[in-house]
Amino acid sequence: MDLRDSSRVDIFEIYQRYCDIRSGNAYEGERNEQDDHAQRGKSSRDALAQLLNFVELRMHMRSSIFDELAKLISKLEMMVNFSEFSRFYDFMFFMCRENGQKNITVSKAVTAWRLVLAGRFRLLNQWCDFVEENQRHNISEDTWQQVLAFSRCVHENLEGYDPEGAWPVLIDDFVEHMYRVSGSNKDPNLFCNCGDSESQLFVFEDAVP
Amino acid sequence: MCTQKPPHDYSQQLYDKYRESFEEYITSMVLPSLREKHDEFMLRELVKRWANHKVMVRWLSRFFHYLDRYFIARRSLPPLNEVGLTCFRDLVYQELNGKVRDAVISLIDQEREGEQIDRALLKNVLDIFVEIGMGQMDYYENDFEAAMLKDTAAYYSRKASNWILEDSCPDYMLKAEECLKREKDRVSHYLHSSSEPKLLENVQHEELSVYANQLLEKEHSGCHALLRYDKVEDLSRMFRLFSKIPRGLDPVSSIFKQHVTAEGTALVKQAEDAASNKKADKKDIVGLQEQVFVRKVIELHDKYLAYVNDCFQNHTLFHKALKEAFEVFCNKGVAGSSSAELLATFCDNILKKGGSEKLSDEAIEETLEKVVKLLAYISDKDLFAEFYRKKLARRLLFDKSANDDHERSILTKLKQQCGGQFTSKMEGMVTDLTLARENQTSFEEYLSNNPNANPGIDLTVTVLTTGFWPSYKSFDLNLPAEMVKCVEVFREFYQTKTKHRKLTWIYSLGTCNLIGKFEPKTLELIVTTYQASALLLFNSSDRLSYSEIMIQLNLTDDDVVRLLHSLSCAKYRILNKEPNTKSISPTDYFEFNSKFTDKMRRIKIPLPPVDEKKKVIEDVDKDRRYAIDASIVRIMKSRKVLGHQQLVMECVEQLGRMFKPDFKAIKKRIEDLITRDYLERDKDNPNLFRYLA
Repeated sequence: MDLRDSSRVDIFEIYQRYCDIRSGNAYEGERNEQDDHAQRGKSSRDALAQLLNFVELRMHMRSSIFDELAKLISKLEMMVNFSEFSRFYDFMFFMCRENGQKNITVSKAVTAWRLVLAGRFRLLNQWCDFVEENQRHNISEDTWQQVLAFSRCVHENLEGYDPEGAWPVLIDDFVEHMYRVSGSNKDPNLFCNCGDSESQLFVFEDAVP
Repeated sequence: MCTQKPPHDYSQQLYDKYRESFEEYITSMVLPSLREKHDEFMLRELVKRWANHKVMVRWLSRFFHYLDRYFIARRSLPPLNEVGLTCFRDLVYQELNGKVRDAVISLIDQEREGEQIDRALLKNVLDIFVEIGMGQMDYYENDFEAAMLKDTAAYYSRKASNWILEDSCPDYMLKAEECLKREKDRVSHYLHSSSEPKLLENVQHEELSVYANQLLEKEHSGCHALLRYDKVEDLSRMFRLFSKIPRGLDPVSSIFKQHVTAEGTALVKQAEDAASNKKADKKDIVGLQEQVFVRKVIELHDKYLAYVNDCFQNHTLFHKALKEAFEVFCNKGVAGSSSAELLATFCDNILKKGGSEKLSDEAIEETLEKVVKLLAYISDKDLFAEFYRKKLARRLLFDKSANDDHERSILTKLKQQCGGQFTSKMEGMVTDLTLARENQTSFEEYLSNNPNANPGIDLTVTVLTTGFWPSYKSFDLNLPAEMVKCVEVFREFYQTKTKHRKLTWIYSLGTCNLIGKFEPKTLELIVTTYQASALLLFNSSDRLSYSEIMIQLNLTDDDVVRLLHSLSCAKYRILNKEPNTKSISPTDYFEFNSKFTDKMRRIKIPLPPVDEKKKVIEDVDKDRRYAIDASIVRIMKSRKVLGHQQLVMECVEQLGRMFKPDFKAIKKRIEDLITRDYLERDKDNPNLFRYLA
C-alpha cells in the first residue's frame, strides 16, 4: 500500500511501515551478502527520513503523539519478546523526532521514557527526574538506545553498571549522581523506597491491558 | 723391571707399591702429628705437611716416571701425580676437613672482631682446598665456602639486628659500607676470588635487604630525615648501598618522590595562603606572590635535580621520581590560576620592559631555560601556549618587549622541547613585527612622495597575519573623521603593495597621543584609540549623555563603561561626570574638565584590559574539542573497529604531548561523532565502535 495515497493513516500503519524498513524488506527482499553494509544503512536511513516527513504531514493535527503511542502499546503484545520491544523502543524515538532533527527534546524524551519503560526500569523515576533537572541539550539517538541497554543491565543499587564501559556521559553522570545521593544518605531505606515505588509501577503496568 | 716380558714385568707391583708407600707414610707420620694438634697449630702443621707431601709426590712420581709413560697410559690408570694427591685427600683431607674448616672460620670471625690473624696461613690453608680439587672447585665450594657463607650470614644477621636497634640510619650505613669494604678486602687477601660476589651478596642481604624498610623509615634519621636535612653525603651513601641489592632503589626513589611532592605541595599551599591574605589588600601583590611561587618552584627543581645528578648518579629511577613528583603539584594551580597561566605570566614578567625582576642577560637566559624545563611537567601545554601568545601579543604590540633576542631565544627553547607546531604561531608573530617595521618605513616614504595624501596626523600601522595572533574582537567603532582619513590613506598605500589581501582594523589595540588644551596648561595624553575617540567627541559638544556617547561611538555597554570610567573616575579625570560618583551608570552625563592639570607634561591614561582569562580558557576548550575529534577520527580511520577503552587510551596517548584530555571529554566527543555519523556502535557489543567511511 502506498502511504501517500491514503488519507487516513494511523499509528499502526506507521509502525508497520517502520518495522518493514528496519528489517530491511521494505525495498528489496534478499540482497546478497556482498551488498555493502553502509549502502543498506544509507537506503534505510533515507526511507526512514521519508517516512518521518510523511508522519509530520499527516499526524500533525491529531491528538498528542503520546496518546497514539500509548494506544499502540496497549494493542501490541510485543512486551514479551525483547528484540521486538527494542524495535518498538527505537520507534518511540523515531516518533519523537521533529522537523527532521536527529535528536529529540528532553521533555519529549522523558515523557516517552515514562511511557515505554514503565515497569521495565527500576530507576525510571530517578532517571527521569535527573534528566529533567540536569540535561540541557537534546537527547541523541545513541543515548536513547543506550538507556535501554542500561535499564536492562543495571539493578536498583546500581550493581551491573560497568564504569569502564562506553556508556554515554549522561548515564555516567546519572550513576555518579545516584552514588552521591546514596552516599550522603547511608539509609538503606532509600533502596527499599525505590523498590516500593517500582512495585507500584508494576501494578500499574498490569492494570493497563 | 718394567721392560721385561710377563711374567717378569713388575709394573703393576711397582704402581701398587708407589701408592702403599704414600699411605704408609701418611698413616704413620702425618696423621698422628696432625691429630695431636688443634686450631691454628693444626692448620700450621697441615700446611707444612701438605707442602712436604707435594714435594714427595713430585720426586717420587719423577722416579717412576717410566710407569707414567707406558704402563699407566696403556692401562688408562690414574697417573702417579694424581695417585699421590688422592692419597692425601682420602686419608688426611677427608678426616680433617671439617676441623680445618671450623678453625678457619673461627679465625675469620676473630678477624671480623678486629683481632690480628695470620692471613698468610689462611691463604695457604684455603689453597689446599682449591688444590685438592685438582682443577675442580667442588671441594672448596662444598667443604669450605658453603659453611663460610652460612657463618657470614649468621654473623652479620646478628650484628645487623643489634645495629638496627641502636644506630641511626647514617651510622648504620657507615658500618654497612665499612663491612662490605672489609669483606672485599678479605677476599683479595685470602679467599678465592670466586667467593667475592657470593660473600658480598650475603652481607648485603643480611645488612640491607632484610632491614631495608626499617632502615629507610627510621623516624629521625631515615631517608625522609636525610632529605629533610639535606644530608647529601649520607644520601649518596644510601644510593651506593641500595643500588647493589635487587630492587633496593625502589623504596628510596619512592621516598624521594614523596618528599619532593610534599615540598612542592607545601609551596603551593604557601602561595595559596599568601594569595588569600593579600587579596583583600591589593590585586598587584597577588601577581607578585605568584611570581615568587614560580621562582620557588624553579629553585626546588634546581635543588632536587642536583640531588638526582649527584647523590643518585643520574639514575633513571630518580629522574622518573622527580618528574612524577613535579607533575603532581605543578598541575595544581594557585588561587584560581592554572600553573600554565602562572608560567606564562612569569615569562611575561621577565621578558617585558619594567618587569619586577631585574636580571642580567645571562640570568634571564638561564631562568627562561628553567621555565621551559618546568613546562615539561605541565599537562596543559596548550593552555600555556594560548596564555603565552596573549602575553606575547601585548608585549609586541605595545612595544613592551625588552629584548628581541630573548624573545627569540625562548621560542627556540620551546621549539626544542615541544616541537615546531607548538611555536609556529609565536614565531610568526615575532616575524610579523619585523615585517611591520619595514612596512612602516615604506609607508612613510609613500607619504613623503605623495604630500597630498598626508592625513596630517602621524600614523603607524602594524600589519599582522590573522592566523598567528590571538583572535581579537573587532567592533565597528565610529572613528573620528581625522582618523577615518588615516585609515583610508593607509588602505590606499597598502593596495599599491599587495592585492587580494583584506585589511581588518582592530581599533581596540590602538594607541593615540592627544594634545589636550587645558586651562592651566597644555598636556600630552597617551590614550587608547577608544579613549581618544571618546575624548574627541567633546571637541564638538561640551556635554554628552552616556547614551549619546554610546551611540556616537557605536560600542557595547561594557566597553563604554570601561573607557568612561578610565576617563572620569580613575586617577586622571579628563571628564567631569554628573553625578560625581565612583561608577558609571547609563543615566550619567559627561563634560570636558577644562580645569584638569598634572605636574607632568605627558601622561598616560591606562585603560584596564578586559580580563582575558575566561576567553583564553574557552578558546583552549574549543581547540581541544577539535583536537579530540581529529584524534578519534584518525585512530578509527586506521583501525576501523576498536573497543571503547582502547580508543580512549590511544586518544589520550596521541594528545598527551599537548594536554591531558579527561575521559569524559573524550566520551562526549565520541557521542558527538556518533550523532554526526562518523562512528557507530557495534550491534551486539555496545563497547565496540566502528568507523563509518
